[in-house]
Amino acid sequence: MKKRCNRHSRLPVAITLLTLLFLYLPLVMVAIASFNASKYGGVWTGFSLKWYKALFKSREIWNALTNTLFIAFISTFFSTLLGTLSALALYRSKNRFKAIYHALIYTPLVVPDILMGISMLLLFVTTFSACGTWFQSVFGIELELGMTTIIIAHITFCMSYVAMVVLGRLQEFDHSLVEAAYDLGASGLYTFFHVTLPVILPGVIAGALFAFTLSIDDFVITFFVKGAGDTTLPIYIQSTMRHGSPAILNALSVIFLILTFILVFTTQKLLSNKTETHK
Amino acid sequence: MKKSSFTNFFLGLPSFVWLVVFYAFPILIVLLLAFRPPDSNGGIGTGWTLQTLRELRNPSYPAIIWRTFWQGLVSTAVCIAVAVPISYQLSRTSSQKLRNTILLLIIVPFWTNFLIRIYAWRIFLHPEGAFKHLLVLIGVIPESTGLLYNQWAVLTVMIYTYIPFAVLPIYAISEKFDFSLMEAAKDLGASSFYAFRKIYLPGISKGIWTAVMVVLIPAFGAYLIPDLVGGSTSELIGDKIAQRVFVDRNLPHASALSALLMLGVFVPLILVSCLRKFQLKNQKKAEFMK
Amino acid sequence: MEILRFENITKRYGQNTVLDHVSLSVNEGEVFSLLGPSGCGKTTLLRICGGFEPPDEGRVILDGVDITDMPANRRAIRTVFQNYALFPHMNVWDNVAFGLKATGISQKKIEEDVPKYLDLVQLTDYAARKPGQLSGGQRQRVAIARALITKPKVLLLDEPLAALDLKLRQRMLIELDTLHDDVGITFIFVTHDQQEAMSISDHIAVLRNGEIEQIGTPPELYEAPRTSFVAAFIGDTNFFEGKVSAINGDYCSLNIEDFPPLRLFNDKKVPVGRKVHISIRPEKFMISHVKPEKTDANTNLLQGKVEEVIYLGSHTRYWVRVQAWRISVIKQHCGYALDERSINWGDDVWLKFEADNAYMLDHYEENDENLLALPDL
Repeated sequence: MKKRCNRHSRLPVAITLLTLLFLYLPLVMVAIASFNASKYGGVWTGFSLKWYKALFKSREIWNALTNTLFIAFISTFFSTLLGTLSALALYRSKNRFKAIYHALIYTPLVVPDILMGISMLLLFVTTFSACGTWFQSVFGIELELGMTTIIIAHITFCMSYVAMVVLGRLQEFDHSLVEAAYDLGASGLYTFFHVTLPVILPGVIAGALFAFTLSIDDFVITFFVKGAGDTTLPIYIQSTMRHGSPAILNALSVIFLILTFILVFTTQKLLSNKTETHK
Repeated sequence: MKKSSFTNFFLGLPSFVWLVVFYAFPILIVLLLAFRPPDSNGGIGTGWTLQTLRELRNPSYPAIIWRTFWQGLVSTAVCIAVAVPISYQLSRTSSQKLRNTILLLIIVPFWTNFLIRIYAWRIFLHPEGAFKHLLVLIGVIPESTGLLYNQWAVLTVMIYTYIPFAVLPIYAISEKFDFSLMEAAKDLGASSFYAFRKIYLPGISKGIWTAVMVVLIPAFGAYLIPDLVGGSTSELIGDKIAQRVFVDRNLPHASALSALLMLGVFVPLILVSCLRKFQLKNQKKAEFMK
Repeated sequence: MEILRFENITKRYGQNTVLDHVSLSVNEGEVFSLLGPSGCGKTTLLRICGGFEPPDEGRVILDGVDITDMPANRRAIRTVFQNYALFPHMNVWDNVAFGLKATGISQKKIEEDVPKYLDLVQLTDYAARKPGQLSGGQRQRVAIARALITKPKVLLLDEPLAALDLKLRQRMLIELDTLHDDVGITFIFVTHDQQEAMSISDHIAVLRNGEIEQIGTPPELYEAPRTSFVAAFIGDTNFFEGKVSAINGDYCSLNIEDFPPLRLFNDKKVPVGRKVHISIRPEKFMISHVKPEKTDANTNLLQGKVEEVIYLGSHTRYWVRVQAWRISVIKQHCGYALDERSINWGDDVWLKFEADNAYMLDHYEENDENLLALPDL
């Protein structure tokens, strides 16, 4: 449809290519360095897989990875559930309350991580100091920062992303499908599970993948609400980075990059399949 | 009708309660704790005080606030300046496949672990790294110049981080832009650049505003980037907040700083949304006049 | 036999009254059309009938039962949506089977019925396809099969042909007609296209601004339009205003400015001295170069000049100037047109029409003249 005209300025092409170069140059350098036998990336001293071997042997990393995945799975599950429900409510509601609700779901997307982190830390600290002793005497559990607080924080910031992705899918959803289902005698629940949910499912899955990635990715908020001994992968990376930049991180970066490519590719496919079916 | 709003209530209730308890309420707590004194073992003292707010007159703060402000503005401006031509180019690319590939390439860094991205820059700008060697070799910089641990490194990595944030919303709008309008403008004698300015830019203004919000606001709260690639002279508000929490254990002071940051977040947010509403109203009025 | 009745249906959106005390009755097994320009309320009436919107006032009676408050999924009424609303994630088979599955019909019955209905709409070979892989016409057939399989008492079709291109529209119209003959279910057909409505319907209700203008069979609406709106909306026509000057039995003399006195059938029994508006369809005029012979007193003759000629193959349209009036005339080419002496722009011509071929209107509005196909001269 859009015809390409030869008289177009070359500037946008140049900017696009330069930006891509800018985006990938550091990543490529890291990838190259990960196969370098030298500990510091400056000089090429020969091809080696030793950093990858070291990576897989590191107990610390496996421990951090297990924690990260555990947190990611649980918070993805709950944030997807809550996010999808809120998207449905937002899509259907028309009253004045909607604006407040919308702001409540939308603003966490732009609020800086550090504000989310500190506000949640303060919530936990004040709650624990206010009713920690009472809680311990009644339930016998000491309230403290730890995996639970990390998971609660992750659910909170992932939820909004899921809601936005699902809402986007819902807004393209043809409401006459629901009417058609009612018209053919289906009940509300039947319609939801056989028509609405299957149609928005790619959006829900994309939202879940998004939440999963965000959870794995998060450093700042986790750093604020974690307990003393908790380590996730980003926490591990950060603390290793502060003590120099050990080459083992190069190998870790490459693996992360490959995983991200696969994840993004799958999500894109899921979100774009609607254009194929509607042609 | 009645029944559906009832169902709606229950659909929205869990997420509403969750967000009020774990998002809205904590933000209130931050504002309140700014009026509390600290206690000696890193907790929160009792009683109310204005002392914490007074401490904000720390002589090093104005410089930090100013730096946070202009670094946020500059990185936003650069990101938008880059994102607009990219979106333009992307939406004019006729091959669907090429378009999706470029888009994918732009999104991947956005999804890649944040720390990995910063780490990549630390390697890239490393004093022993190939890039530094290259620059010294061609004589751009002397051997003694450090590429890392200064505010330029912070700015570069911030721009690097936020470019995908800016491209996505602008492209989303640009994709739907009707490019035959540009052809019509040129047909009427406008130059390419004139058509770009007068037709394309207003056409994607909604995307640009979204991009401003999603870049500027997180940029104000940047903490990890200055912490890892910046030096002591390139600290931002975010660093200070983290320092007060983790180093000084002065939570009320951290709250006061956060409240300040919150102002920086919600003021542009409200401003932009008001501006949009105003524009929409004017648009509607103009349509009505017709 | 009446199957569906609307009683005094009123619907308002805020200040806007979309339907104003609409009452009509649909017979079992017929094709009933709701015809009107966009915004006339026909789709709202359909949605009220389907149960997607409640009326503010009035009742909907299906087969003697008041269904006004019954939810959509309990009514024995099915809708074919304008965009067909096929479930994109299900193939043709599952789309057709949906209504049966949703209401808990046994699997055995489903496997028995679905092939029957796929066969009815000739889509047996397409059972495994997704809606995205079908053409517009095929999608429509799926939508119809999906609705019919649940054996509704009434099938609502909301502009079912609007999404199709012209050629396909004509074919699907014939298909719909055949299908209706096969299944014998009552069809309620909403359209803004008078030709579609005329060709398929047993009865048509013409709606305008939320009110019914006229209900009748297609020939009734065409030949005996009650109002200037119906006359102008369905087909093309000429309006004249005149005063009755004399009455002779069933006929009367009508004085129209600039015209010789005309004789008309006075079915409305308009008394002498009263003004009246009449409609004369373009094809009721005979146009010729030579003055036709006046066979009896009921033949009217007018003399004029041709101002515009549009040749359309099977027929030609002329606009003939008679003093202040411009009359639209259609001439059917029954003979071989090249052998005849053609009537050209600027020719002096005679127009002839019979007293029985004009029709008096109950109600006339000048605005309705805008609906006519007049060239700007």
